[in-house]
Order: sequence, then structure tokens, then C-alpha cells
Amino acid sequence: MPADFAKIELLDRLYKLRRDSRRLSASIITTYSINLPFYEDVILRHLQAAGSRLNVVLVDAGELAKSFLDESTCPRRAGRDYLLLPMRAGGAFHPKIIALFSDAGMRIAVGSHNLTEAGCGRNPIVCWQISVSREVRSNLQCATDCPHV
Amino acid sequence: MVALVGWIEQPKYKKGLDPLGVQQPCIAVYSALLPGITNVTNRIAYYGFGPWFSWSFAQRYPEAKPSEFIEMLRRAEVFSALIGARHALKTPDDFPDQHDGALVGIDTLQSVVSQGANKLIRLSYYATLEDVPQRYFKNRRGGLGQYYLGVLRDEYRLLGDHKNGVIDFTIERGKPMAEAVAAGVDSDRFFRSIEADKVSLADLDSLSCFCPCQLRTKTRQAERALLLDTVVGQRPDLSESPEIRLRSIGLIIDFFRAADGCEFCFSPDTDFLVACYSRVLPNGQPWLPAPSHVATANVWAFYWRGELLSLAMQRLFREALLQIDSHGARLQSVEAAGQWCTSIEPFSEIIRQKPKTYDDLLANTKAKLPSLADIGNARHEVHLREKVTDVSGDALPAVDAAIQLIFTLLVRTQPALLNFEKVLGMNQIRLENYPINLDSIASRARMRWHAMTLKDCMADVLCWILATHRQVALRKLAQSGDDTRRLRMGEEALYVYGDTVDVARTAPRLRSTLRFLHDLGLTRPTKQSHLPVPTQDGLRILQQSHAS
Repeated sequence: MPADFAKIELLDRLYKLRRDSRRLSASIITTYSINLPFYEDVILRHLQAAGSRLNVVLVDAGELAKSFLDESTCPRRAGRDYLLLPMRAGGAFHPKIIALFSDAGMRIAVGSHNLTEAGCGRNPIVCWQISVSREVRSNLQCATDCPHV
Repeated sequence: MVALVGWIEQPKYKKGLDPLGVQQPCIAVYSALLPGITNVTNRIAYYGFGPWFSWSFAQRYPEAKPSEFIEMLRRAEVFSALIGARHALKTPDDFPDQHDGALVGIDTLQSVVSQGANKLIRLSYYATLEDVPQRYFKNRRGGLGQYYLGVLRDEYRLLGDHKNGVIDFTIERGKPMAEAVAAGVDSDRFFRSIEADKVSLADLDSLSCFCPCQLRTKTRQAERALLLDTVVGQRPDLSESPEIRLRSIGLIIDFFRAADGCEFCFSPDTDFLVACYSRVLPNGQPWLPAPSHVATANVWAFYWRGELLSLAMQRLFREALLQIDSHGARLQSVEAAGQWCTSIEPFSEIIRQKPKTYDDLLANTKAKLPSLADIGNARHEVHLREKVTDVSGDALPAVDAAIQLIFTLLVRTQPALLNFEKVLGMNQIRLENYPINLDSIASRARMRWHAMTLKDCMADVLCWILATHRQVALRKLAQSGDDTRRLRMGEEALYVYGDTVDVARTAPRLRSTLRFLHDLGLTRPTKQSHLPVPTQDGLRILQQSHAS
């Protein structure tokens, strides 16, 4: 499988999805920590502008609970515009995966990027992004086999 | 399958405008008051020049390619700016700005006419599209395309916009305007010159009829009359929103009539706004606009109230960020940041000096409130505004003035009790995207601040400001991809990023409008630092505006 080291402008790529001829249909994002205003005001808007109508976020339950401590970080659109699922795991729910689905195929980004401002933009974080066409979707297993970075 | 491994890149920071979204409601109000005039459409002569050039070009070169249109348009803009610059040099008067002020490309071209008396000027040297220092304007379609096309197309229907870059005139309105311009200028000679590409100073002198100052002369009276009908709004059928524009222009002329050429305090446009708000002229005399103008004056006063709130909030935002940044405070949320700021100077010192509760400070402000007409009083909004915008000195008096200004706006609801729905109509601006505005501050004061300690109230104000900035900046990031966040959430704490926040005033199109009035001969200048006075034609427009 060819792999190039590059600089990935994750937010810019998500922004440009709205101009992509292949419309998204759904997204699933997993994360350990979360900044809900950032997800709701930026990421979710990108996804919806790209056509995604079913958007799911899986987040560590303990980290999500912290969002309820302040009015400014509480969820405002959860349950209405997207599904927000607190995840309980033995230690911590720690995977960081962005999976975008469309009729033509899917794209997956696996890395160490939490769904926060710092995770998606500030910190130097390695991300492995793959695009999978419909034909090879059956080979999706390879994505789950990849080593965590 | 395509795979890519890499580091995540930070989005590019952009300074951006209006980081709190507090200016946008003000912009919506003044845009409604002066439709069809913008802050970049400074010379009304271009409202005629655009249709005239487009029509004249189409007549002379019916088979021309789009690239030839662009080339000739750029040469024409260079040539007309040179004519204005030359006329300013040759005409000994106290107002050189009336000739070449704000002409497209004048900053680059002004020096050309003063260098060498006998040389030939090659227009294409300055009209070039290449990125060279002598290029007069970057936009391919020149100032007409960048500044004027929008309003000439959308408000006045004088021009049309073609995909291939050609700017076309409209048969119904553009052609009559072009013919009116052509009646007063030597079109053939102008086009011969730009075709030859080389002009002498004698050519510039012989075509001085193109100078914007000539609009007031008999030679160009047909053009001037049609501009009065179209832009000033004498004929309602020639633009989309003529009535409100005519009422605003009538109000401005009425202000100049009443002020009778007195010395201004700040600038003619600011003094007009102060007069709308306080109903006092710069000379201290009361100003009573005619009953037909009172509603328009009230909306301008509403704009001014919004502007005062905008400046006060920007100042508090600026100081809060400066404190968070300089102390390196580790704050987990905007709520914590708001609370923390109230324990740090200058906020803590101001809270210490003032009454202990929100209600007490409100009552105190009410008791000491100067009358609306008392614009010389240090507690009046006019003076508080000056202190709030002064970023050169100590922060303490500026923050104090910002807080005083907010409380003054809460207790003073005169001259008219308006809100955005009454001013703009339903759904003209999505106020939920601009959470800090005149409507919301009144309701927040009633619902939240009542019975709070002043410290808690200030913490809530600062939290509101910081949260609003984050909401506005994140929305911009989503909508345009521009990253304008000044307060960012790191892995563990908020941190300040980028430029220091400006305390920026909005520009409510009045400078362009005042220049229009002068160019059209509706006002005439008096002495330096004094307001202009209306001419007979200006007074005639004033009479007409009463009936609109």
C-alpha cells in the first residue's frame, strides 16, 4: 500500500468536502476528549454542507461529563442534529477515527486527533487517511488492522 | 484505495474584521439608511462614467473581444484619474480634493502628472495587469469592476455583468445615462487618446471636462440632472430603494442648513450622527428636524446607539484578552475566564470603586445621567466614546468608560424606543448570529443582571463577550475556512492567539454621501474646520425629501 508523509490540513479538507461532487451520506467520529462547540459549529457544519445527514459521535463518557460543567461547553444540538453517544470502556475510550460514508465509497482518518480545537489543528498529530472505493470496501478490514499511532 | 500518512496542519490564521460580530447589526442599519452608496463608491462621477464607457465602447468596437474591453477600460480609468490629478495641479483653489480625491488609482498616478512637463505618458504602462509597482489597480476590471459595479447593477440597474468579464450597460437605464454623459464631454477625443495609448499634459488639460469637479458646470448639466434623479432619488422609478436614500440625504442637508456653516467638533459625518442622537448642533443650539425627517433621524440615532455598544464591548474584549495573555492564566472555560478577569486590574479596581450591585450602579448612573443635549458633559455618551476608543493611554479609564457607556445605554432609551425589527423589518438580519446587540443587552440586563453583585455582573458580561467571540470565530471557520480565533482552547486551557484586538468604528457611508453632495453641487464648503452649507439646489432637494 503506498504511503506518503505529508501535511494534512484536516479542517481544510473537511471544508472542501462541500464542493465535492460525491455527496456524503453519513459520518461516524470516535474520540477520547471533545470540544462540543467546536464539533457543532465547525465539523458538523462541514459535514452537513457536504450532504451528511446521519452524524454520530462516540466519546469517552468521563470526558463528555466534563462538558456539562459549563454553559458554554454544553451540547446544544445533540439529539436533534446528530447522535452523541457516551462510551464506557475498561480504561478509557481512546480511539480517534473519522469515518465518512458516501454512495461512492468511504474515507477514514485514523490518528491521535481528539475532536477538539487542539486535536484538529494545533498539536502536531499523526493522521492516517485512506479513501476506500465501493469496489474495495470489502477490504476495509485492513483499516482495522493498522497499528495505532 | 489511496492512503496518506502525515502531520495535521494548523489552519491559517487571519486577522479578520469584527471578531465579536458587534459591528454587523450596525452595518445592517446604515446599509438600510443609505442603499446604493457604499464606503468605496466615493465619487458620483463614476456612476455616469461606467455606463458611458460601456456604451461608448460598444458603439466604437462592436466586434471587440473581452480582453480588448478590459484593456481599454483600464486605460480609460488611468486617463480619467490623470485628468483629475492634472486639474488639481492647474486649478488654484482651497479644495484640490474635489478634483482628484478618491479617483481610482490616484495614489499611484498622482505623481505622474507632476513629473516632467513635456513628456508623453503611456497609459498602458500604468494600466498593465502585470504585478509591477506602477500598476494603477490590481482588479482586472479596475475600480469600476471592484467598487462601482455592484451598486450600479443591483440598485440602479445601470450596468449588467457578463461572465466573460465585459461590463455591459442596460438599454433602459444605462443608455440614457451614457447619452447624458456624452452630451457634456468630448467622447471622441477621449477614445482617440486611449486608443493611441500616449497622452501629453496638453491632452489632459484639453479634456478637463472629465474632471469630477466639472459635474457642477453647465456643460455637464444633463448628466448631473440624471444623477440627481437616479442617485439622490428624485425619480423613484430609477432605483430600487430611492425613498429612504432621499430621506437620509434630506436629513443631512437639513442638518447643514440648521448648523449654518458652524465649526465642527469631530468631523462633518460624526457631528451629523451626534446631532441625530442628541438633537443638538455642534454650536450647542438645539436641532429640531422637520416632522417628516424625525423617523429617519431616530433610525440614525439607533445606529449610533449600536455603534456605542459595539465600541464598549470591543474595548472590554481587548482588555480581557490582554490580561489573560499577559498573566498566562490557565483557564478551562470562558466562564472561568470571565470570573478570573474580575479579580485582575483594571477590572477589579473599577469594581472596587463602584457601587456593590448591578442595581445600585444602574440607579447611580440614572441619577447622574446628563441630559441628552448636554454633549459637553464628561459623562455624556459622546465623551465616553472618545475614552473607549483611545488605545494610546492607560487601560483603566478606557474600561471604566466602556462600563459607564453600557450602563448609560441601559438607562437612556431616548430619543426613540426602537428595536431591530422596527428598524429593519422581520428577518433582515439573523441576530442569533450576532448575539451582542441593542436588543439582547436590554433583555440580558432584565433577565440576568438584576440583583447580581457588580462583580458577578461583570463576570457575566466578560463571559458573554468571550463566548460570543468564540461562537462568531468558529462560525467563520466553518463558513469560509478563515481562522480568526483570538481565544482558543488548547488541550488543557484557553490561550490567546494573533493580533491585539482593535476597537474599530464602523463607517456608515456618510463620507461618500457628503462627497456626493459636494460633487453634485448640493452643498458648498465654507471655511476650514467648518461645516458646509446647502446650496439653493440642496434646499430644493430638502423640500422634495419632505414629500418622499
